[in-house]
Amino acid sequence: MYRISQLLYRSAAVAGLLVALGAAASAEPLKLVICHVDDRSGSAADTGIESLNGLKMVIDPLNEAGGINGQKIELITYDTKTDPQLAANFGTRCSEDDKGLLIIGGSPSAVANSLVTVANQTKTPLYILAAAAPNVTDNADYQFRFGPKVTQDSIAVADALSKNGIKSVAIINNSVPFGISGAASATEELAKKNITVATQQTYDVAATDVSPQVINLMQADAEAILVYPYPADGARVIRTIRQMGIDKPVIMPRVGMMKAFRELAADTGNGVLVPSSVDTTRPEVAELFKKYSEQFGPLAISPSPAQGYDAGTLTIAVLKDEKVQAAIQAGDLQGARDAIRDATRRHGDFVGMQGTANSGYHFSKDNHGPTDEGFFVFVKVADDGKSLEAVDAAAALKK
Amino acid sequence: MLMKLSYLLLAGLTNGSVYGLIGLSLSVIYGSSRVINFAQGEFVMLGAMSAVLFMVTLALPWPLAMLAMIAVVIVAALALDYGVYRPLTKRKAAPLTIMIGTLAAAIVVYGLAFLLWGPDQKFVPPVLSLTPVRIGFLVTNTQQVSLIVIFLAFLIATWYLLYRTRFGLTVRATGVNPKVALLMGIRSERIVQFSFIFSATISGVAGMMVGPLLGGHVGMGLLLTVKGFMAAILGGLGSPFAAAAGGIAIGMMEALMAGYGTSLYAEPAIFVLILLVLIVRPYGLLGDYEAERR
Amino acid sequence: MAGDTVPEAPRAPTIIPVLVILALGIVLPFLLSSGFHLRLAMLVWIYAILCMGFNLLYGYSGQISLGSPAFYAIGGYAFAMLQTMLGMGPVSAFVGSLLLVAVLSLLIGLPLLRLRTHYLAMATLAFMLVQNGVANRWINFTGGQSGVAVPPLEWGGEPIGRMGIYFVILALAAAVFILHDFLIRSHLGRAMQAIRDDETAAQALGVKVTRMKLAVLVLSAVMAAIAGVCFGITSLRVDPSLSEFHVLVSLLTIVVVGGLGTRFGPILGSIIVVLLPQLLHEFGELETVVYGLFILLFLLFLPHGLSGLLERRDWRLRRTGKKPAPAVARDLKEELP
Repeated sequence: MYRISQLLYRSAAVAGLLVALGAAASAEPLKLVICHVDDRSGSAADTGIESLNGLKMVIDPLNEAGGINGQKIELITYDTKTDPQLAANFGTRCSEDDKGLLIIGGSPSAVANSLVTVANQTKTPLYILAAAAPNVTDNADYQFRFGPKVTQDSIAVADALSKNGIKSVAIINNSVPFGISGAASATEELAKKNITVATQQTYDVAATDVSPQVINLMQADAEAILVYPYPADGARVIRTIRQMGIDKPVIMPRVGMMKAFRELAADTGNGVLVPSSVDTTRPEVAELFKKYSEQFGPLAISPSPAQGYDAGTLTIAVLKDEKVQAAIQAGDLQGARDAIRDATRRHGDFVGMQGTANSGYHFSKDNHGPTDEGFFVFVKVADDGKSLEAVDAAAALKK
Repeated sequence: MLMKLSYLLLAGLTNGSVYGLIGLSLSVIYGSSRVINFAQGEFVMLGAMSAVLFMVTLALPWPLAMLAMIAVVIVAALALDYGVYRPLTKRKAAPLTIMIGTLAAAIVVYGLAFLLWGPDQKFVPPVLSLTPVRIGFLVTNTQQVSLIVIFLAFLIATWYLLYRTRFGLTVRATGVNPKVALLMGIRSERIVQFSFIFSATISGVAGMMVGPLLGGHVGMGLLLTVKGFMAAILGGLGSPFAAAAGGIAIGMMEALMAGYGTSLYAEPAIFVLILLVLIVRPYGLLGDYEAERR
Repeated sequence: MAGDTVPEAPRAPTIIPVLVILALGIVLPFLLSSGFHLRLAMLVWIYAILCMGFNLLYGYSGQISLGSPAFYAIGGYAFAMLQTMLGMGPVSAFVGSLLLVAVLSLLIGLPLLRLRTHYLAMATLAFMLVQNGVANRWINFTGGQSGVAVPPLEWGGEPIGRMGIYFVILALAAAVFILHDFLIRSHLGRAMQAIRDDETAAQALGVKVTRMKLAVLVLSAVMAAIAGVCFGITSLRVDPSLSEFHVLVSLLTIVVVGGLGTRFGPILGSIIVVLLPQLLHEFGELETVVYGLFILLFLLFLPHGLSGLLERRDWRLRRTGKKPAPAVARDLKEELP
């Protein structure tokens, strides 16, 4: 019986631990708790860290100035390590234990997907950040996205190509989910504009030499090349393309802007076109990135800080909303969450740091995300990767 | 057509050299200690990231940076030896348990590297040039070609060490039977330690040379470890040369599959091929040596 | 070869501890204050199911299969897709997914079980990578990285609440746990250990080695599939992350921390692995390093895991050279199922 009693003791200890974990006090009125649940290590760590910093750039000054009606916003952060299961745990922990009013996070799509399930189950509003998967805002109720769908990148690309009269495109992508789903969504959008995909080539991120795939690109002889890589392999692809003497225009969504890509590609990166959801020619956007660099160290242009900043801006607007405040003062948690969802729809049509000056977020009604049209600008890598130039997409690909 | 084939073969050789280098270094450790090292790719990562540290952050010239990098990976190898291998062997842990130990070590190394270098993919400065050069009608660059050269150099060095020196004889003896080797007056712990250091050096140099092409990222180790595993079991774990040949085979298969077949499904298809090979030859393509020894 | 390094875990004579654990499992949800804790409890059972299969295969039979996450994922995917694509009900989809995994594991096991130790580990790892690679690539069929939504379980037209789901999972876990325990305590368990310790000797003693290994592989794959189904009904979505490396790392951590080849190791290990990230959260950036060190410390200082601790009395006796209490004749009573 010795063993059994020990076992009982052990299990009781574990149960006790579980209970102790949940001893979160709830006071009236509700505390302004929001959670950032995102990768800060793992494969999308950069996006999670940058968006958290962007979020802090809005929330910290507000708290220093005294918060909202004397209440400071409490920001709880969880690191999801690109593990959807862990993300769901932390999301649930935020909503059930921390009594979070709002969850912000989900840069990798898998993490975002599992947070969506949590948001629906616990009826907690969710601001999704960089996730590119198109379906996270399908039939959306509590969830809103700040990052554009991969479909939107593809629409922007297909649009630009068709405006330039290009009829055939070759796609090359890496074999991680970003590359595979990027290529798949591009194929779909290009078909809608009657642009043929001459060939689609996939390579392994661990492959040092991508010439087999590039040979096939060369033989397909399309009018333009669309690349879905990570930064370092993107540089490898563009080097190989130029090395083999292919001088077709190259479009590289998202990654083309990143510093690691531009450094690694150096002179071969010149002229690479990037559809970008961040328009640095807008003075307020340039100012944001300048302030970010001063506060957190040097940063290449990337949408994540802007997404975090915009999510923070909207959070504050929503928390200040009368109806939300009424529910918060009454200590009605679910009422406050529902009010936040409704207020997000009311305040959610605005121009933030992402998008162009005349096209921003559109959260009212069924959209729950950025506008489909005109959200992207095109930039061109120039100066051996040292700078990015804004270009007019409609003329960019004309020879 | 001939041009395409030559490009494919060159790419297969380049990629295969990288996989072969990792397979070779995995097999060097396995040969002396019967341990599959899950942290092998972390040595490659440390090689690439140390290059960033010494060549960019501290701005050392590359020969100095390489020496410093080798010092870093040797420290890591010793930590693996004293922190994981020795204590576990002392406790008579099974080889697979020690493998889990190396996995834990890989997690620790990744965690520390993450604290030091952060999450971004880093620019690793090329030791040699990335500008295109012509070899016949093929265009490549010296950094890529250097991978093949380094692979061959380490292959020859390993062969010379194992089969042409007295020391190599003791290494091989330890691998065959550590107890008997001990009776013969061979200090097997020393041999294992040497194999850790040698293997880490191979991987570290591979990391520094492949870094400018693959980019430096603290998470790059796992992917390369897996490639090395596959190279090593395809060829046969027991002999470094079989593992190296396995790497070349995988590189070639990848290139040919991408060139003439489907590039999308190339990765899973190659894993299926490896499975099929193992079904026919359970100790790898060149694994007779080990099958006999068992 | 593994024989002298993995001492045979002492066998407890009764099923009572199993029933106590299950009783605790029944009481647990009524003690928990929030749905978050209920979710953690569900995950503990899910991982426990997954690892009990792995424990039978590796801990008892000595056959390491790093392919368990693949069967875990296939189980979940099949359960979801049989419902969404073929319109099956949840029960028939459950049975269907288990059958599918059983057949698949049989087909894979037949040739692969010839392989030994590291080769078997790497070959099964290759199988996991194939499964994961296909799940990511075949977007039209598997939904790519977004995976497949699992229809929520319903009872009389109403979706079952979280408490209900917990008890569904607990029931499945109980079935697996009792089977796991029965096998370990029966002569089949000793046959498995004989294979682990010395295949040739086991064969000589009349153990049908190949058939036994195959049976355990199929059983462990089916257990993984049950875990996958449970994950599906909890999270309402299955995606390629079910067969990614972090699952494998969790699996190996559980067996190390819980204790390899022990009766309660999978459950104790699962408790730790599910709760650990929640506790390590306090370490912030150091989390990963601490996690790795934690596994190492367990390997070094508790080689038989937490479950081993429970049995320490017996082992201490063994170490000091005294004979443990003689094994009772109980073994003779237990026959084939």
